[in-house]
Amino acid sequence: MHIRNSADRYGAVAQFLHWLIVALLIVQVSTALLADDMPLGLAKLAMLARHKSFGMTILALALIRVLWRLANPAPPLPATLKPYERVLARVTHVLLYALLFAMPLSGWVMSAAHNYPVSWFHLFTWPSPVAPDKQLAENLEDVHETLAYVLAATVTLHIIAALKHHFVLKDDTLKRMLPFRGT
Amino acid sequence: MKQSLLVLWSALLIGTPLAAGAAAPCYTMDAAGSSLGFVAEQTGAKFEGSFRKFDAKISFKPADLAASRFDVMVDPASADTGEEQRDTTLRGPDFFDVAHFKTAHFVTTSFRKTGDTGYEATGKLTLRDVTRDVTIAFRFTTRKEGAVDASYLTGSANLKRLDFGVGRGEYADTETIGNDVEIKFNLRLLPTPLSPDKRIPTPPVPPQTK
Repeated sequence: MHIRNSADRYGAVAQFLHWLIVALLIVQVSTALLADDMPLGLAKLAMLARHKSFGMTILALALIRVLWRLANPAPPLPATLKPYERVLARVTHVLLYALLFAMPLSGWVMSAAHNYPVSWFHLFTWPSPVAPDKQLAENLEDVHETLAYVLAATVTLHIIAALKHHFVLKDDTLKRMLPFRGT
Repeated sequence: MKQSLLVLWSALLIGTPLAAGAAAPCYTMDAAGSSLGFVAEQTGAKFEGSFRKFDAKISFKPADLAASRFDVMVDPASADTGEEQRDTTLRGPDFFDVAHFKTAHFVTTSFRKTGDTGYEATGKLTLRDVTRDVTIAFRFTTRKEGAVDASYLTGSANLKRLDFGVGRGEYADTETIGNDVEIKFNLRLLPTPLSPDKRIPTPPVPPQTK
């Protein structure tokens, strides 16, 4: 398998980053939903702290992903796509990248505004981007939650498209991102 | 007669301020210019909070530390960490339990000099229903601010919250909420004016001899 992307498939680094972030997003949704259900207390605090540590990890990985993508372009979209499909694909991918930054950033600023500085797995503390600010914290709660729904919708579209290409159109689109299939 | 009266009043004139000066100067705290805060650790990250209501009666004399005394009253219900749920929890039975313990109190018992400009004072801190010795490290500086001489008592103390039973039940776990708490203070002090009966007495007019 190649490290870098080629003309017809994604390289090992791109694939690794993609699936690692998929796994971390599942962790994020789980910790968020679990914490939401918990009563006020130590367990909820600990669950949210985990959510924040994983979130900051995703932020760092998102940065690496963007830099890696700039360093080696992705394989071109399949030639069979209609113009509106090309636009939809581009928009979906750009939106996903944007959300990989917007979600952790909004969470990080929200936590700082709540005066809950963010630790990374108890190893060190991220600097707080803002001073404590109750109004800002409240606004960011709404932003963070709304962005989560937008992410869920975008991811769903992304998955449906990948499955359509694989099972209906029977082309290589999904295989390009899978480590064990393809040329 | 006139002369001995004069001598008596002169002695009082000189003696009274000397006697007053033997006690440590007293200061009143300017609430608007003072702060009392704490730094605690939660899920691995330090955060700061403060007490909005507190008062300090300060007597301090570097040349006579034994005559010095700090007496600080704090309203634990005034704890403010910038987030409603945490502040409510702090006021609750597991932390400060303000329903049962309305004040925290710190009174010094001894002072000593440390280095060129620093001091340390040990005193009794009563928090909830526990009284223990706590040592504070501080600096005391005075400067002219317009018409007044303002003094600043700045320093810190380290204590362990569990020593005072702060954080009970599940909150006793120090992995999630650190045991070490740093108290930070910066008090702006103004000289307490002398009370009327301590003012230098004015001598009576000697009776006129015809």
